[in-house]
Amino acid sequence: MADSRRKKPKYPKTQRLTLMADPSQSESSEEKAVGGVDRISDLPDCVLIHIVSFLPFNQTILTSLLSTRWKPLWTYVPILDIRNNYFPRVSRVLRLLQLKAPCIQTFRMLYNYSVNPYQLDRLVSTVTTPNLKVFDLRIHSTENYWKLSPSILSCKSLVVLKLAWKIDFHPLLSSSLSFQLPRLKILRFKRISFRNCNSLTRLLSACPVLEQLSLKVVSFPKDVCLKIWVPTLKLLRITNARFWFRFESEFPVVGYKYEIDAPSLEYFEFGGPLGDIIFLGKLDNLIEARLHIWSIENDESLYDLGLEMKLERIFNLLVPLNKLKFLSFSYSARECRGFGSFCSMFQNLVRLDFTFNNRNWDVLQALLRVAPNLRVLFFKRSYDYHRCHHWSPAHVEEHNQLCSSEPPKDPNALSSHLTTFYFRGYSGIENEVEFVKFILKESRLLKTMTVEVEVESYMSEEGVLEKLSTFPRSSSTCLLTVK
Amino acid sequence: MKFCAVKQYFDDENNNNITSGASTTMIPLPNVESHPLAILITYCKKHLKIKANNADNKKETEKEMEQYEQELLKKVMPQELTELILAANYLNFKEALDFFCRAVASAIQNKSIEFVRKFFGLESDFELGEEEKLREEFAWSFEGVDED
Repeated sequence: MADSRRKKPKYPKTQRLTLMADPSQSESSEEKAVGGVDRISDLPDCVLIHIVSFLPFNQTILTSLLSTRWKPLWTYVPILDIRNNYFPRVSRVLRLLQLKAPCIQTFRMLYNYSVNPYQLDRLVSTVTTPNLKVFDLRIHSTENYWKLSPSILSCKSLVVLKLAWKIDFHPLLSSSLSFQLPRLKILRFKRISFRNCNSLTRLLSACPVLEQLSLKVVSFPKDVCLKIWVPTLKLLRITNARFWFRFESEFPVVGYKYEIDAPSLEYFEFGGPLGDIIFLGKLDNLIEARLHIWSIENDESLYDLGLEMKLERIFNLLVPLNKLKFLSFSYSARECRGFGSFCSMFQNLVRLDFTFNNRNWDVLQALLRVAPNLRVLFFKRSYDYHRCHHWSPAHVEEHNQLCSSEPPKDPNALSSHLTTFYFRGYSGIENEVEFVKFILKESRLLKTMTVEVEVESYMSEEGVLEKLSTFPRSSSTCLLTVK
Repeated sequence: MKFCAVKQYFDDENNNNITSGASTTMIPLPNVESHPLAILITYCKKHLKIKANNADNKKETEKEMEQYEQELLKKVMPQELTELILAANYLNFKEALDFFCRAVASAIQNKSIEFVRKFFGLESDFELGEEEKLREEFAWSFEGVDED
């Protein structure tokens, strides 16, 4: 079915000289021009544009030099991504935008210059067309803030909005302009300061179909409650960098009161010092939650803000999450008081990833008691304390004595469905041994138990395997592995 | 059915009341050569197989697919890619089209204009001076381009 060659290959311009100089070499030069047959021109423009769209931005422009047919193609590529190390001057970008703007669906930019508000405003207004779907702007300048221009918040076609760093919402959102983002599904803010919480609430109410909200290192005034009321929200992520507190900020740092009303929520992630998080209404659709709670010890400012680690807060956070299937939980703090027990069951909990640190056995105990259908338990040692503070094993033991926390012993506490148990960071201390014994003894359906030995504990894998194999187990099909 | 053009053919056939029991229908594909077609069929089968194996885990699917694609690229000559794109385009096979377009893009990335022209078999049909003007205007884009 081979197509007959419709046109003879023409010698490329650069080779004409050799042809004239030495005719006998002409055939070999034709063979050398591999790909000499022009098949690419049989493709329709849209496919050629598709090929060009996979190139980095500055190289898409180069394709205009290939031939007259290729000259305009780069302007039709729907993506404009200038986030890499190659920085054209903003004025160039603006000029290029004039050519390309109507076709741009995805715009991503890393703005690494000192803030020029006029330029940025022009940039935004040129890019905001009825075709724009994704807008991702990060302003890495070390100086001023840029006041967000209103056109982006009225872009009816926008689906994804990501803003980071030195962007100031406040003047805009406190004005009486109305905003509409009828198609917006994904909203991500990183390192943004809200001077008051009404601005964010107002923005959220302009997004009727919002599905994902991500607040990374976002600060707002203390003692103020941030209200996240979004009926369509499926994913909510609130995370804070560990050293955010050390950054200088113009705005008063950091409140941590959230009021969340998101009945469709399926995925919830939280990282940082835990303030008061209140869920209004039930979370019947929740599937997964990841909670990574930490606090900075010896930092008085935290106590000032009312953020000292309180177990009640953790309790109050976990209770409304009881419909979920997957929970990943870690918290590190020196406090260890009695935790209490949950009154409602976590019926659907199938997998639990728990990061332990010899002080939070209470929490583990409480969770195990109310999770009758748990199948997979992934148990991981937290490294915060003993590494960061260079405690000696003796010191650790001493500290552990002070806490009256003990590993779970209650046989009714363990799910009768547990099939997989994974222990990472086993160091052979008494509490851990007790716990492993307990699991082996009580789980009738256990299929695999894998123990990863802590590298610094100098125990041999064989030794551990031997010791653990001696423990009585109620499951006949259990496979024990030590790594 | 990933080959949307073929699917359409079948749909049209059914509309013309041809018996659905005919198992060996000849479908004319005048614009597709046999070699690229064979590769596309293998690609399609592999893709469906990997997808079925990893029904739940999207990441696994992607990883396996990537590995397979890397292997495939090693066997295929760069010049064949154009043929493959033509075939995938005619058959309306989106995933293969995306993959081969990406492969071509990485083959021409960071290469000089002359190399790319040679690769595609293109000829510069610019008027005198037009190309120089364009080169000047976009001089800043040439940073990072390999020498031929």
